[in-house]
Amino acid sequence: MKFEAILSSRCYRSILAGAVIAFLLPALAVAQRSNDGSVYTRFGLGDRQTWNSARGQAMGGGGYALPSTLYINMANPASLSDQILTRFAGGLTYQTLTTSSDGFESGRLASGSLSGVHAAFPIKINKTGIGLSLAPYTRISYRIQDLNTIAGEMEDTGVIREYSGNGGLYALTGGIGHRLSDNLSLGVSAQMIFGLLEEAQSSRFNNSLYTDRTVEKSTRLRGATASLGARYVVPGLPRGKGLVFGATLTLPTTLSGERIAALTTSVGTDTLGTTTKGDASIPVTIGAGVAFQPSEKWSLVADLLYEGWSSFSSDFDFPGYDHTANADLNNRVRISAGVEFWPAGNRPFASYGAKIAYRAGLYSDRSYTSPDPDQIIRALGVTGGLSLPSLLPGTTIDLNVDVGRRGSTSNGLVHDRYIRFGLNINFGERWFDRLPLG
Amino acid sequence: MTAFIPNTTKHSMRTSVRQLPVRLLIPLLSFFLIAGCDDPSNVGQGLVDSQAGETRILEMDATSFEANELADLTGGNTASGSFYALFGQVDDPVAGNMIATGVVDFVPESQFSTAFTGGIVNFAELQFNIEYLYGDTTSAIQFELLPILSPWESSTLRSDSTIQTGTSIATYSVAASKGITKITLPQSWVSNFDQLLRSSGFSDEFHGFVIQPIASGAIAGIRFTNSQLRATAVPGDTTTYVLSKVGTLTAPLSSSIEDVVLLHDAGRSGLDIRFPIAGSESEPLMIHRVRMAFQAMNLADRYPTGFVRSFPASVGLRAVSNDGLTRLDILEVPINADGAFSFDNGTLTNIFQSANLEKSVLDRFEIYLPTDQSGVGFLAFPATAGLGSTFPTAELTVTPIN
Repeated sequence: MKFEAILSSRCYRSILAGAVIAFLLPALAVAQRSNDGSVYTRFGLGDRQTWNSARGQAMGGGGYALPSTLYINMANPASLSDQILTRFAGGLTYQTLTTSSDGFESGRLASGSLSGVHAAFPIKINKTGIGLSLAPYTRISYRIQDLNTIAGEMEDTGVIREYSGNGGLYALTGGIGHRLSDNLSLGVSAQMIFGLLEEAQSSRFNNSLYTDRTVEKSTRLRGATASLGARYVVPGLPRGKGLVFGATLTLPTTLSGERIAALTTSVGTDTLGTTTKGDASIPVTIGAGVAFQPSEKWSLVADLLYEGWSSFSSDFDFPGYDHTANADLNNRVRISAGVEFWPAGNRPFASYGAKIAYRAGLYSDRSYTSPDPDQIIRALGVTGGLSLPSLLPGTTIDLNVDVGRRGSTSNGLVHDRYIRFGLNINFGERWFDRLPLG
Repeated sequence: MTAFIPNTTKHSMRTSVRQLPVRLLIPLLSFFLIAGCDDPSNVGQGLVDSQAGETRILEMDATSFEANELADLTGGNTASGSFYALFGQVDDPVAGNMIATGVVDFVPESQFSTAFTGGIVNFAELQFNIEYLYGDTTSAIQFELLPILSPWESSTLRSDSTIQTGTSIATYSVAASKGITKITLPQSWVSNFDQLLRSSGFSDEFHGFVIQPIASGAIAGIRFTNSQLRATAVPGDTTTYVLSKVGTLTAPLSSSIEDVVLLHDAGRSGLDIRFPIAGSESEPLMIHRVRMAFQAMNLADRYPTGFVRSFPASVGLRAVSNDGLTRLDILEVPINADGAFSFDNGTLTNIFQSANLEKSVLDRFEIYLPTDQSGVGFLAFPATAGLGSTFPTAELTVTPIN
């Protein structure tokens, strides 16, 4: 059998899809243990992560109103009603980060991490669909190290202090979307949020008279919430044009969990106190967006995300949050917009280059945490991407890029400049079809 | 609306496109996943330090510093423990009236000869090798010699132990000087102990002597080496009984100087010292090093000329549990000529760390004079209750736990 024939066989595609998904799932454990990210991931429950779809990611990161039969759009469960093919999608992100602060030399960091894994299939084609998603909800990944001397010590003894953190929360989502009419789709999803937040603090010496110590703190949290979504297509527009509004509401919830801390030396580990049980609240999330298609070649989106973190409460202290003080977190507001240009439109025999979709977007993200309560940490970025059709029908490789900056060097803060490259694989094929007789 | 949803699926399925570099997918995925930069920087240190804190020196005053109530172990044998039996009495200008009662026991040096066992003991004497002196070395030491009536253990003998004695054997006076001092035992005692001295059961049935001071200006220490009981039988031979066990009983002291705490050898076991390090008294800390420095008072100008004041050569530190049953020896260090000494090692650091985490059963430290010093010397420290500044201080190298 020729290689091309093997490639085009359903068997091969299924195996390949399974292999890639199987490859991505263990990545959950590996990728989230990286320490090579921004110090801003240290605060709160970690840096909020969103990966709704490769397409949405390239268009600013939103997509509440974005319909698509080619992608699983987990931004809005109502979008699951678009499914025609059984579909698997997954993505990885490679980030390079340049971080700077007044009085410090700039640092350059790079790391790879999992963007997310999606699966969806239609119950009734282009009418009712079910989707599953596993994606990071927050991410902690940082390591700060400096060589200093002991304050107040007469001897010139060097001490290497290191603060590091990794882990984060994941969201396992299962949702269903249904098209009630040509204009209105509704969806609902259940979301289980769980994960392990780990941070460590160590002091090491170049003098044997001093004992190196490391304190490690692990907080395990788990809980569930639900999201409702709606999408409305404005009727009456000329053929080839479209205007869609979408909105989602994710209910607030409380994560329960426990925290353990341990002190480690070269001779062993000693737990610090007893395991502490407690809760942490996850606030309401509201997302809204609009999508406009002036022609078959162009799509425009604009989105707004609001998370009410000012109501956050927890029995645990987190960096940037003292549960005994009345220090509130900030409400997160994310605004994004994007555009997609697809030269081929619906022309089936267009050239390969014309079948590539070109995307661009921009966003502003006001973080829910800050190391300084008086300072707002905001990220601004532009996104872009290419969607490359593949030899496998219904399958695309999406290459994305996100160039942005966060924070500033004033007021003792840190200024991050980052470039994120996204490699996304999007499989789709017909499953569960009844073969025609004869 | 179908126009808005890019219905490319069926077209893409039918369209031949360039071959996807599928075989490059896994290497690409691997790169995205494992690529990383292992070069942490210090950018952001300021943001973290403001919440955690830098590694620094923490001076911690003791909250109590006092002599404990446990009597010192003063017994010893040829293998371990004290190596002096102290006897005598001194009116110390600082420590007050010091009284030491010696306890000694003997065993035959070798198997008795038939010439000795076949004769009758008609002479016996004690030879004390005095190697330690404290006080007025120009004075004499008067004492009573008392027989011990029951067995005693040198390993458990403390300065406040009780020894069962019989009636006085004799009273003696010896010079307070170093060297061999011979004491002839009275003929009545020799006659009474003739058979026992020649018996193979001597080691079990003879329990030794107590040397009870009557009046003196000095305290002397009898050392194992060359100290013996000698008995001569006629006709026949002379047999030597070597010193096998020693011990010292003392009366508690009270300093004549106010606001001073004494670490007295052969008296109280040691000085208890407490630091506010437990988690409830201190913030949680990573403790990297602990140094405890002490400076004994210089009391030379309080003593008259000719007063020999043997100074302890070393001092130890141990950690003690609340009930006193767990006693962990940490370190023994020499005392400098000026009375200064300090403790600094990993065990001490770890004990502080455990206490800070409230993980330790040890609740105080004890400074003690090692048993094998076997003297009656003492160290004096200023200690004003309620004024922490005169209590000892520990210097901790710490990093606050975030």
